[in-house]
Parts: sequence; structure tokens; C-alpha cells
Amino acid sequence: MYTSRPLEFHIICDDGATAYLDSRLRLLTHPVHPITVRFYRLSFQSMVDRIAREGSLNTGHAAGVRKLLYLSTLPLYFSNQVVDPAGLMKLFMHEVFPDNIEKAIYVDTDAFFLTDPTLLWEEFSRWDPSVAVSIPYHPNLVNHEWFNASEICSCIMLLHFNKLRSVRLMDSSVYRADRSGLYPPALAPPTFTALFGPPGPHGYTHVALGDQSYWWAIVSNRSDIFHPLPYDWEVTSCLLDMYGTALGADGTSEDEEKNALYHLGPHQGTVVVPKLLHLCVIFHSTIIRYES
Amino acid sequence: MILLFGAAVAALVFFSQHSLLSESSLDPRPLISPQNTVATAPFTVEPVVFALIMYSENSAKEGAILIKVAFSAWIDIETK
Repeated sequence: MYTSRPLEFHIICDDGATAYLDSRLRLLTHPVHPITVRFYRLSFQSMVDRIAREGSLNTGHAAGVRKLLYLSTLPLYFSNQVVDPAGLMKLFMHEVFPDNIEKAIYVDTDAFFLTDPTLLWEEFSRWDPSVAVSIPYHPNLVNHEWFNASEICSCIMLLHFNKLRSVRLMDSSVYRADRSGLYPPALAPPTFTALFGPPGPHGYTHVALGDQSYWWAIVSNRSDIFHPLPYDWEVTSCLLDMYGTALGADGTSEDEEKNALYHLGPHQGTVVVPKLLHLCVIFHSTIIRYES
Repeated sequence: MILLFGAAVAALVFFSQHSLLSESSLDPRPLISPQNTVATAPFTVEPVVFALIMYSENSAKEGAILIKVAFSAWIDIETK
């Protein structure tokens, strides 16, 4: 990563990850800009407990699956598999990090930057005041089995934590127990119900894409807090024929590119300049129909 | 031709923090708006802040590549 600014990394991790990262980071002795790394070592049980306090989260997504011996002790209701709750922690990061972490860039670990991350950070400055979340958005990438959660990719997100804290993004039994009437209800539950229907005894059913399905419920129902992230930063281009781009044409002019690129939806007529590479490991292929 | 290499002072700070995963207090938090956002002081460079999840050694091995920061130095090239 080549950066023109200081960097802060706030990392939710376990002891194994901490030890490995510590060994790597200690090799870095002369960065051009200051770098701060903070580890937030959450216990597995604390993550399970927080999800349980939400009360209705459920997913069949395979990402992050870990085979655990104490399957029967999990108070989560995942379909035929144990899902590492760390993936669902993407919905709770605003609670994990201290209040002085106002906003941050989230990126899945299977990606790396091709350009200065400062360019991505500057996207925050292009938001309207109500916006709290920015995720790549492809309105023509539909899959009804997934409630169309394929229209976004939560692999990369710009999150304004303070705004998410102020609206209490995720519900909790702690909030539900409060009878004062002084506090707003959590933002997310009505959006979940609107997309998935009322939760059953084991929570929302058929939520296939883990946290991404829940983020989709939130941003599709509350467009006032959502700002689509430019495709320069999106990580789903492999499912979109790379928009018709290819290697070996560095001399192509922008005008030529504008006419050549496709699958750009609302951004048709623009030029995509990739700034992030996502390895995007997919376990099995999925047929996705283009509506346009 | 003069090659001038300069590197800024590095500050690599490790904080190991046991944070409690807990809901916000019952006090409603004010919405952040341009009116109540503290302006950045002049000459203060705002850092780029990342929030990441690496909940296994394997995940950390992937993530280490993501956060790998390249060594670099300013190079001034003058041709006479």
C-alpha cells in the first residue's frame, strides 16, 4: 500500500491473528507516514452473545466457516453449518470501536490497494449530510433467491460509525428492555422485516449472504443513509465481465473507454479506473441474470 | 543529477486492547453534522482510518498483505 497520509488500522482479531500481525508489523521500521495499529481482541463468546442479544440474525452463508467442536453450545441458528460470527461483526463494528473512531474504511482481507487509499478516504467528503454508509451498488445484478443482496458487495464499505451509533443501527435486548421512551428504536429491524419478512423462532430465514444480506436490507430500505461507492472501488467486476476492460490497452483514451465499457448501470458512460484488487474467492459458481 | 532520499520519522504504535463488545449507553447520541463537527486544525493531516476483521491466523496472513505498507522515499531528480 502506497499512502500519502498517516494510517490507522483498527483490527478485530483473536490471539492467533494478533501474534501473526505483530510479527509482520515489527518488520516495518521506516514508513514515510505514521502508522497506528490497534488490536481489539474479542472473545468468540462475546461475539456470539452480542448476536444473540440482537435476537433475530441468522445466515446460511459459508464465508468464514470454522468447524467447531462445541457446535451444540452455539445459541445461533445457522443452517447445517457453523458460521464464524466474526463475519456478522461487520454489522457491529460501530459498537466495538471507541467513540473517537468517527468513521472508517472496511475492506475484506482478500483484497489490496492498487492506489493511494487517501483517494478512497476522500469519498467521505462527497456524501450528503444524512449518509452513513457507502457500498458498491449494481442495480442490474439481481438474484431473487438472495433477496437481490447481490446488488451490493459488503466486501468494501465506507462507514460513518458515529452516525450508525446515533441511530442505534443494530437492535439489542438491552434496548428492548428500556421502557423510558426516551430513546430511538434500533434502525435495522424494520428494514430486515421489510426484506425478509417477520423473523421466525430461529430468526430470519433464507438469508443467504450473511452480513451482506443485512446490509442490503438496510441500504435498500433507507436510501437516505446510503451513497453508492464509485465502481473504481468495487470488487464485483469479475461477475460483470470486468466491464469489458482488459489488459494491454493502456493507451486507450477515456472517450474510447466510455464507449466500450458495459454493465455499468447508472454509471454507464463513465470510465472505471480500478483502484482496488479483490481476490474474491468463491466456492461455487452462481448464475446471475442481467436485467439490462 | 542529484538523488535526494528523505524519509519521514516513523511512528509505529501497537496497542493491544481488550475492548468490550457492548451496546451504546442509553444516552442518545447527537447526530454528527457539519455544524457540530470539530474542524481539523491547520496543518494536521487526517489519517486514513481502516476498520478490519481478522479473526484467525489465516485471516491475518491475508490481511497482512492488505495492510502491507511499502517503504518509499522522496526522490528529487534534477537534470543539468
